[in-house]
Amino acid sequence: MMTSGAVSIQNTRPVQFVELESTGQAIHSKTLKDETVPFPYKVPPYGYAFTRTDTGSSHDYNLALRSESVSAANALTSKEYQITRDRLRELKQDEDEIDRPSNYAYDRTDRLLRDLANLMGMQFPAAILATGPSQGIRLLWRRDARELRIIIGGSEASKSYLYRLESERSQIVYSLDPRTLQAYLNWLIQV
Amino acid sequence: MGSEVSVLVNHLLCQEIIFRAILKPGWIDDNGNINANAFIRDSARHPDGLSVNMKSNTDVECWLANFNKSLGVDSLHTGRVRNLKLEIGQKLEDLSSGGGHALIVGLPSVDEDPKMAEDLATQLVKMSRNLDRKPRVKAKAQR
Repeated sequence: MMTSGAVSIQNTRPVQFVELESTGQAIHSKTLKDETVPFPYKVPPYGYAFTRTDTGSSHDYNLALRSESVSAANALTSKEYQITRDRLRELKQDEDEIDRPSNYAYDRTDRLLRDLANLMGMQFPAAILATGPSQGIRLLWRRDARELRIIIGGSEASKSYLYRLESERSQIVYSLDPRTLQAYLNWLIQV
Repeated sequence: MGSEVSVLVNHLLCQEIIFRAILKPGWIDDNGNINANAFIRDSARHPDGLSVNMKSNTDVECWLANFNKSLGVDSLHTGRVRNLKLEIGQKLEDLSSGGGHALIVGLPSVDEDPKMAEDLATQLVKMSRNLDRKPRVKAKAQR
């Protein structure tokens, strides 16, 4: 897959641009000093990582590549997003067919995760995923006394909702638009 | 509620300890603690209730050997589960098989009452105790 556009790199120091395999092994790397990384790049399935060459520290940034120009604010997505995407794929590969999510739930969750990653960038926190009733998908985040669950029904006929919990107080929200979910995830991580 | 107490012919004593098998990676957090996903009932697949096993009548290794794959076990106290206005007991076939299988009855499905289903899952997580986190895979039958 090839794409075009440009990604602005906020950090003006040299950064090493590393293409990763799913195992985290580097396929190849390239040092960049420019503030703008031109495309086209061959898009690997598992994103890119940046390592600062001046300090040697690895930030494990994954770069979500898109088909048009994107800003650094939303081009950099967290490694935790990749972990979450991997967990979603693993659900689809469950050895028990009945424990796999429906196509409806899978596609809707996939879209939702991508939208959230675009909005949250590096702040995206890794979710625990499980197949739920009626082959829906359950995503769960927990931070101290706060917990957030997003439930995607197995079909349009099944309920999809967000469940928020803090200490003993809980709430159900039926609006699952990405901006709403982003606000709740921000609430979760700002403990 | 989708699951009915009337299916039970043997109600467990309050002091009975029950086991919940962890069958999916998404039922535990990254730190190994059980989460709410383990206590959400799929009413289509489990119309009568959530499956558990009685400690007094269960050899954990033999029991978990029945599953293709498992990731451990949590234990719960029947009396505490009953405090949630849930019932724990055995169906006639559970009783006659002698395998220690039992059901937590009264959990609504997420389509019936999502808030209640999630709240009860939250409470069950709180009262669960980590008993075992040993991954087990069923041996393939030899030809």
